[in-house]
Amino acid sequence: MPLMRDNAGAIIYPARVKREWIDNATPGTSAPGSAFSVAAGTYSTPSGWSGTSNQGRASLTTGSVSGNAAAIKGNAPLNVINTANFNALSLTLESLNIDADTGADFEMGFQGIGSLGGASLMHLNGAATAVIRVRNAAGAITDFPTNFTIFQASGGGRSRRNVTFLLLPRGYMGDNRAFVYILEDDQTMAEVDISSVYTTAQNVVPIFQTVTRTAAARIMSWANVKMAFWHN
Amino acid sequence: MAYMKDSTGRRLDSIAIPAKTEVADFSSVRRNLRGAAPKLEKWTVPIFTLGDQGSTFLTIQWPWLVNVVAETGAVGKFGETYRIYYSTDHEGSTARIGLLTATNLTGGWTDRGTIYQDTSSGNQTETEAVVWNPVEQLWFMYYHQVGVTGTTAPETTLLATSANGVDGWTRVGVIIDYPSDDLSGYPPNPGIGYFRPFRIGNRWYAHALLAGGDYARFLLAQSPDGRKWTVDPRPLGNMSEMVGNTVRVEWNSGTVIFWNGEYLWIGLVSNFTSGGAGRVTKYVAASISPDFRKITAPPVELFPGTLLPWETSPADNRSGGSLIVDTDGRLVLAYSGSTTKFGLAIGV
Repeated sequence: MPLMRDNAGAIIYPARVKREWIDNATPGTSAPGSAFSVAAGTYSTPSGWSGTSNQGRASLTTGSVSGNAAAIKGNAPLNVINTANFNALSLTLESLNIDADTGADFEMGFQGIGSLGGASLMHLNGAATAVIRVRNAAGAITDFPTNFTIFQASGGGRSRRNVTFLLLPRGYMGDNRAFVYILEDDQTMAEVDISSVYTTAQNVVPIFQTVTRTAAARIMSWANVKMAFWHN
Repeated sequence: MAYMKDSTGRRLDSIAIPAKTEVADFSSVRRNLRGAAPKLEKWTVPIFTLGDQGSTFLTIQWPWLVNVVAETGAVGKFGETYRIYYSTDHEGSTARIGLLTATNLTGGWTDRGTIYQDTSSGNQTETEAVVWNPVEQLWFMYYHQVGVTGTTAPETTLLATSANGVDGWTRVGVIIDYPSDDLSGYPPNPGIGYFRPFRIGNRWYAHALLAGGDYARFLLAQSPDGRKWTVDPRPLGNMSEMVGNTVRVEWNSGTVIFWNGEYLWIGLVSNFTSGGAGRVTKYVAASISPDFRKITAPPVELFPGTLLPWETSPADNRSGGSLIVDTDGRLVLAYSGSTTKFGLAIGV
């Protein structure tokens, strides 16, 4: 189901009211406040603007053991979201990158409590492309292929990009299918119908994380975190 | 307020309204919808083949069609009305740009051989796009070159100018390179080539490759004069919502035209494969947003069905073609039906 766009190409979302939460990582700020907290890894407060290649981006570092994660998650119970309550939910990471092109997993999206349920963008270490991963309440995983990449054999992880995970739990009016879109800036990089396995009425929290798959730490950095919900 | 009455004086509210007997006629709707997707018909034979080519090109690709008379008001150096510039593809030091000329679209294409090869720095002079600049009264030829000294990207876009579009080329140099100070802000595999310019009024635009590979990103650039170009920092991507998850828009193999009241992008979509093996391309027309960044409707395939006998099978390496709105209002597409043959499709 194509996203609706106006004649200028701007996305028209499936509901009229937009609620937006924006965290700008600026020098001295702590981990994304109020709605999120550090679930794993070591958070680095952005220092000043004057250092080499320092644009005041926040970062989170994994441990140096394969399997160590660096993760930001929405706070429970205040920011647990029942996706049946909304027509669209989005999580945007701006200026996102990892400090290496290989040797890590990356995930962002809306995950059920305890990693049961939800849907997310997942690029696993060594995979050519990312998938949309949907988990059910029992933890069973269904992966939907995409042609979007965070990592590439020739690079990619270090490239800074603005990525949005957009979930429409019940499509546009009268459609009732659940769709996920991956956006890079204003471009649609993947569109996946997950309605065969996605349960609309479920509680999720936003999450973004990287997991090192080598015996070395990985650093995930970003400038802004934006979360938005649409409803009528 | 007086009752409304008809010409015989009867009150209108006393007149029985006859039952509706009309049948909805959607024919105009169909016409309008069809109008949004131009229809072109292919010539059944190629207009030019590598065998017709007089010099030593290994392949002929990237045909770029121009109506010289429409652009400049006069016939070209050889008395021609039409030109098709062409180049090799990924040929390294033997790469170059050639020229065909004709007085009619449908026949008598004459090969003029090599017209340009940049040997001043780097090589692989290819993927030309040649545009008349009415302000400077010069032909502007954009092309890409590999290994240009002093550039960051392995592949960069350059400009050369000529008064007659055939010879006397002046190499202006690199117009777009990859940034050297903040490479992490852009995708890997930098490669700025396949520059496809178009002009809307006095503003110049171009789609081009930004970074290559199977999961390529593309760029949109703007210029006030065709010489000084600025690049939109937001890469162009797949537009999956309009073309599906397994197909990408090849922004560097298309043309933007204004057609029936809207902007159309006409070009190639393909699977996520760069280079030769396994690449499948289709020519499509799609509505494009006025900022030239978004396909706004699912594309319409221009040539559905089987290929012509001389065209290669779907697993091919066809380059992008080029399309003009000719002086009689017809669309004309010069396309690469194989790596050694050019075809022509004309609007009907």
